[in-house]
Amino acid sequence: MATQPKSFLTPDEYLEIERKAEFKSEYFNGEMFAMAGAREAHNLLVLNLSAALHGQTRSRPSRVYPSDMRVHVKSTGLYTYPDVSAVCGERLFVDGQTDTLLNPSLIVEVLSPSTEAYDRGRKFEQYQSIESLREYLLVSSDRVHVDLYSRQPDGRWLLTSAHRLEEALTLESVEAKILLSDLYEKVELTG
Amino acid sequence: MFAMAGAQRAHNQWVARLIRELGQQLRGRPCDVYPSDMRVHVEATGLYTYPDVSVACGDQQFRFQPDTLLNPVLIIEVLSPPTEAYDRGRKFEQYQSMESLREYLLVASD
Repeated sequence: MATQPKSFLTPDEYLEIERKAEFKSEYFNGEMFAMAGAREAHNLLVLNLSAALHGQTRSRPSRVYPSDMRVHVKSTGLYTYPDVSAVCGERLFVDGQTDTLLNPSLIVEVLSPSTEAYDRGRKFEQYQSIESLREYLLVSSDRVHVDLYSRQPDGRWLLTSAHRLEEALTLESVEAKILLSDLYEKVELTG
Repeated sequence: MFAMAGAQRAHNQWVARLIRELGQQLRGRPCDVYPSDMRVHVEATGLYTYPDVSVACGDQQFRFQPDTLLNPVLIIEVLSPPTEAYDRGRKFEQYQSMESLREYLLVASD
């Protein structure tokens, strides 16, 4: 995420610009942040995960979205493009259009050095305020490692980590099981 | 230069407050509160590190008697931009392998 400071924009102005734009930008607190492309490992991880989720959720009402699905965090005003998001059951969108999702059940971010602190810290903090969100998955792109945060009945978030290729990760939000060997297939880890 | 100095100051103020508060509440109990001059060793991963604050209770164990703590029950890191990803990510992961550790507290300084 590269910073591109501009004058203060309202959320409506952002959405109007964004819906016509040729490249994606996130929005927070009056500012738009242009999104950069990603390395091969990042792309393969997103694709492998999406393929696994898609395969396992086809016969159910769940929907899995790639990073062109904008997600809006109502309580903080953030508009962002998670690497992968998924919804179970009814989908809620901003403005009656279908380009800005309000109620993801699962959000996935593939980590990169420039965004890791944000994804683990303030972005996660904002995602936590989405009531529908049950799981937040962070996938490392420089080694085999995943961190899954699951919302508990008392509102706390439980961390489950995995780092061996023979391990499997259960995503209860979408009733899917992901083998780390499938997730990291063909991914060249460059450290 | 001033921005850096300011961040450093906020960081140090937080550490001082935490140590003062914890020290007061733990008085009379078999616990010690250590500032960041106490080196902590994570045996499972080989890491030697200086947490901003660490607390050990009961039978405290050391390597290289008595300057490297092996069994903290609480570790606190005050976050700053250059170390936030590490503190939340790989460092936390290493701390998790310490069986003695019961709590890990991250404090934002901004």
